[in-house]
Amino acid sequence: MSEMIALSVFRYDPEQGDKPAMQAYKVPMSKPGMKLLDALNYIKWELDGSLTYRRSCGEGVCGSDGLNINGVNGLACITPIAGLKQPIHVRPLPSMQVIRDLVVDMDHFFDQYRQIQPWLKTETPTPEHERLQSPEQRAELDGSYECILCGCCTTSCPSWWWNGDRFLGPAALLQANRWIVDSRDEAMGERLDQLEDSFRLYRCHQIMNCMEACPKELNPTAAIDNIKRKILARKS
Amino acid sequence: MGGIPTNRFGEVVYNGPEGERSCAGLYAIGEAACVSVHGANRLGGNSLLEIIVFGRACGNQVMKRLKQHRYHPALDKDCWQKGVERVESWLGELNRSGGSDCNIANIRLRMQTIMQEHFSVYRTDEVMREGVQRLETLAAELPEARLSDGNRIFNTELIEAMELENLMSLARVTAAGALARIESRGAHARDDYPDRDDTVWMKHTLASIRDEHVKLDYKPVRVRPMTVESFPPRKRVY
Ligand code: SF4
Ligand code: SF4
Ligand code: FES
Repeated sequence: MSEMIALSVFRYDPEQGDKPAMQAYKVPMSKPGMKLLDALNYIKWELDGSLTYRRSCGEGVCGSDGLNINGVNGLACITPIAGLKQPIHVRPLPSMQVIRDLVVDMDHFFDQYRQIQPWLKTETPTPEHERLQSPEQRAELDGSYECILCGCCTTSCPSWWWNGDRFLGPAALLQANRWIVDSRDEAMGERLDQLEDSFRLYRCHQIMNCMEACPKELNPTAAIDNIKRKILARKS
Repeated sequence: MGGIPTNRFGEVVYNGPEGERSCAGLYAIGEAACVSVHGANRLGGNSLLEIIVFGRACGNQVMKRLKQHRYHPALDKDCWQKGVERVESWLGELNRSGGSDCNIANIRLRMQTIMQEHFSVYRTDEVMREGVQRLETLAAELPEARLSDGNRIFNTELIEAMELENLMSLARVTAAGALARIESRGAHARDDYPDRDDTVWMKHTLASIRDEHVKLDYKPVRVRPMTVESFPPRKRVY
């Protein structure tokens, strides 16, 4: 008999419209280094085909399986079972509209990402070859380009819980900063104008939940700080 | 590198009676496409070339076409039915199954096991022939598979079922193509035919499934660059 893992998983069936409930499952510990996603897959493939969650890459690259795991946001696919207190409580990302079980509506999150216009903006004519960067300029992007838009940070931010309709939240702001610090981008002024707003940017009170939550160990707080400093600098 | 055959503009091509034709307005790029430049292996640099060269070429082609053809031609008014039927055939017959051997996850696992055991790193005629047989038997079981989830909202078991249908087709054409190719090339390494045979086999396998049977055809590899001299293929040594 292999060791059994106890899980308590959030269930919500929109067709029945019943109240959400936690459901208990037991899953065998099948391999050393087993991740939470392996346990969810075991439930879906062996015990209960109706359990619904998002997943794709299985290795912390696609950002699909952001979940609330024992009260902390993280990616199921890179969270080892071994370190988790049992029964493992698995819930959808907090403050989000639940579509079904662990699947939440990410539309507003991605809409806020779109609002920061995450693409290179230039005015100078397109050079014949690519726009070059020095290794130092490229290094400025470290710590932002790795973001996989999983939403773990934004949905852990109390300011976003209360003002998420207008406050952009840590993920979108980290990305806003990614374009502000990009040496090839020529729209910094326009970007700062768009952000200089008591809600869009200044609802961040440096609570740092976002940094704690990020499974890629990024630091949205520092990025937000940098935007604030850029805005201050152009005032003086 | 295999994929949906395209020309260098990312337009999907097919073999008609008058030779190669492109499907206007249908495109494939990157991992999904075979523009016939990569050779037989799927190597690290492929994706870069696909993005930077063919992604751009395809984007330009799309823009060009949209300028001339703002709207697509009128669709057959029943064209949606096949898709709906496919979904309904899964949702319509829940759980009426011969037990857990016949669920999606189980058939997928058996398919993966066959591919792993019969079409992995070192291949021989005997091993692959048996593999093709096992795979064909398994594929015939797939229509018996049933879902346990009949929900119409975010049904990921349904998605997995449809993915499995696609994967099964891919596994079948991959297996048949590998068995037929009596040489070693790229990742296709045969113990019984260890050498590459450019006279006979420097060609792409074109596979299709018609009336439930895998059919194989071939087309030449493009070996003449347009602006520079070509160099002849050489043996790859390590
Ligand atoms: S530091 Fe700012 S963005 Fe991050 S959790 Fe706190 S309030 Fe939210
Ligand atoms: S910053 Fe981290 S937690 Fe936030 S979306 Fe990006 S990867 Fe996820
Ligand atoms: S499944 Fe892709 S990040 Fe977890």
